[in-house]
Amino acid sequence: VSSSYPPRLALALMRWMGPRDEALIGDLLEAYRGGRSDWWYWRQVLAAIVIGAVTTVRSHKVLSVRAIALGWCFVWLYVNYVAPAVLVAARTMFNFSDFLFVAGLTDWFYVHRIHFPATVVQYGPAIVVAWVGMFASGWLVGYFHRAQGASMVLVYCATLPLPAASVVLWPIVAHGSYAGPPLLLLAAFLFPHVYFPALVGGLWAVRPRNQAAPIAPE
Amino acid sequence: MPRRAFLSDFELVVLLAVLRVGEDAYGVPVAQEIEEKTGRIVAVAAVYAALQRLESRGLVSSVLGDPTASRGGRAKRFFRVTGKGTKEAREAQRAFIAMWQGIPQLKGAAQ
Repeated sequence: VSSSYPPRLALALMRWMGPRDEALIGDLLEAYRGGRSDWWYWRQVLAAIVIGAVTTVRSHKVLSVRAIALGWCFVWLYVNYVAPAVLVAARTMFNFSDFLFVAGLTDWFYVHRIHFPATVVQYGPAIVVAWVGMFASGWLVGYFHRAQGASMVLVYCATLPLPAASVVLWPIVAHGSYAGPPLLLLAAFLFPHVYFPALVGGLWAVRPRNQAAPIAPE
Repeated sequence: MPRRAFLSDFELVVLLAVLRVGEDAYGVPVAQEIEEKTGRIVAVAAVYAALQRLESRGLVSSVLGDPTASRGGRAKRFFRVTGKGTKEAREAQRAFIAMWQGIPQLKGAAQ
């Protein structure tokens, strides 16, 4: 049985990522209170987000290209110039192995035969640097396209998997086989460390600033 | 011959739904009308996107109503088909009827 309040997360997503159309938000609320299910409301919200982004891109083609170019240019500069310098500086200023030793954690990991510290020491700083860079790229795209809401962020994020997809698909098209890293491993690395931070950064830049309009009791 | 922008399948369905609902045509009843008559589940946002395109072409016009409590204090946007929109619907009807005629496989199927 539907309550008079739609799922809060769906409502928040609608306000954050959906079209900024109060009549549409009101229509969905009215239909929900008229007996539609939570599932129906969720589906409508997800459809509204996708349709809103597509409609915005269609009506702002140049801005869409600018948003994608801005994000990718930043990523290119960051990967080639900022990230290497930051990683070198981080290694010089902070020795993670020493930190673990001083904190008394090295013995603990050794006793429990966990090789986690080696992985953390090797990839930890790189993952943090990747996270910061991708967050910043999404934030930049969102900040300079706030008038279009989350649409430009979504469009930019939709282009992020393209290089990885081409790396996977090209050998299949050219040679009929793929011999790179396992796809699951690739996805497990790229989604949390590359795509997700860019989306979070972009959505942070376009977060609704004003107080959410209250939902009056029925 | 000047290039004419035809209505898409969905735009035509939305235009006809607005005509069918009449005075009280806003997102919810228009979407319901489409679902009832076509059996297709539609996203209300898709109806709005189509109505926006129709409005930009001058085929429908819209006005904001008063906010109501059942909608969380949000106003309804009422749509009305313009004269140009009615003419466009009539032309589409004429074109479809002309295309339908003379197809033996579809004879008697339009009930």
